[in-house]
Amino acid sequence: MWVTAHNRVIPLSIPAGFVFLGEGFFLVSGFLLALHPEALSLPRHPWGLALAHLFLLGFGVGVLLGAMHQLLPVVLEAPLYRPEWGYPVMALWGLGIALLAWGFAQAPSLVPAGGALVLLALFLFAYHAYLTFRQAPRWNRVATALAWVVFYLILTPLLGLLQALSQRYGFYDPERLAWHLLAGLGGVFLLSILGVGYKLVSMFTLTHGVDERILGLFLLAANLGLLGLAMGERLGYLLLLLAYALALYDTWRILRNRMKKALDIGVRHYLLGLFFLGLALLALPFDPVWAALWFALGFVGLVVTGMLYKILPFLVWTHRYAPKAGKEKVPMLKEMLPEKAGYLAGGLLALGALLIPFLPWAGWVYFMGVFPHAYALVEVMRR
Amino acid sequence: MNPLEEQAWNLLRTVYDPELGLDVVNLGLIYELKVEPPRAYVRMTLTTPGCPLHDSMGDAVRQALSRLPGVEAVEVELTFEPPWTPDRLSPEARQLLGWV
Repeated sequence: MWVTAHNRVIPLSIPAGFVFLGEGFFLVSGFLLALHPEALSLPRHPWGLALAHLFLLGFGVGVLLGAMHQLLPVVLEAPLYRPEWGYPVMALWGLGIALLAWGFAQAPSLVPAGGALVLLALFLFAYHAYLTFRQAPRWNRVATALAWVVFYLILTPLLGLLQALSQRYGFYDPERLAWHLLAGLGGVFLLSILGVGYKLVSMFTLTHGVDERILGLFLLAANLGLLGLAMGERLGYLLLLLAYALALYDTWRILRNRMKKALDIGVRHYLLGLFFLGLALLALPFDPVWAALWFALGFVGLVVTGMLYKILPFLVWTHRYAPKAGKEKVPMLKEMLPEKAGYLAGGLLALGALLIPFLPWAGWVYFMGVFPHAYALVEVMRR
Repeated sequence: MNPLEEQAWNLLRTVYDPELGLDVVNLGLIYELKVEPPRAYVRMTLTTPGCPLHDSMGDAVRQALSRLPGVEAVEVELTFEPPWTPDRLSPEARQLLGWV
């Protein structure tokens, strides 16, 4: 293969745009979390719905979409089909989230418009991902995980839409809310974080020789587990526990075979996130609200913030310093991140997430964690 | 090794993997190097197929070797055959990665 000029480099503004819009939604959701802790314990509380969608669909999915624009070519070993399609996806998704959140909180008439825009954005993204998948010269299980994530990215808003329509037309069933939650929390975040985590943690620790069989079993157990829970089967929960055990075992294998001894900030956040995932799974049969909080704020919050400390410096380096590499001294990725701010953020976010089920004011601790995190990312852009 | 090739290897030691903080020579990414002015040829790999640094590392190697006197064209061939393994790390690289 001959080197061609930047055939896989996509415009920085696409992933960075998703990331910084996501960060904006993170900031607002953190503020709402601190300001309206009562919203957490009441089902379908307007502020609760707004903050949940800002955090998960705004921050979580925003970073995921940005990362996938960068990661799909890496995993598939093929360039994106049309990188510029990222812009309309970003515009539709960003506007849709803003309308959706405002609609849930204050103006219910905006919810259908916001939801429709987000759904359109995700359909366009899914179609783009499909065309890119078709270009892959070979397949692997991380690609399978990403394909499942794309499927759940479509299924989740469709189930949300079904909920909204059923409420309006009188066939509402609160049980179906669980489907929407399972597809979103489990399908999108569990599969993307643990599926992609296999690849990213292996790359960050310079690990070789760990096969993908466990990842394949994990995907099977997690998908069947989610389906089982959606059907109200106890076996579904046991399968999710099995999936978690497989993910832990895979992580242990990766770390045992690593060539880079010191664990970096991204991997440490990932491990802390796995701890919160375990807490969430343990809490699930007893208190689903606690489980959802530990899953979203702890698992998703820590892994996503931690991965950004790795992804964003890489993106900036690729665009700012890669053209100078080989000609002059360029910084290492580690030098581009103010790590202390990242660790401070991680500590505050973890403490806030851990305590919030018992102490509502811990929402402020979590919110305080957003600032050093955002500062670290702004510094990366500046350095 | 002639002085020009020695200079080429030294130039390659200035090309770093920004994630690992190690140069491409100590990482064992260079499979073959030929310097025959006005051309230079490198066959190299990356630590993982589909590495996000795919284009950047190849370009950086090309730029570094372009600084060789008398060299006007640098061809960089990226290959994953044979795939890179940790056995290719130099003792210095192992030390910097924290294992020695």
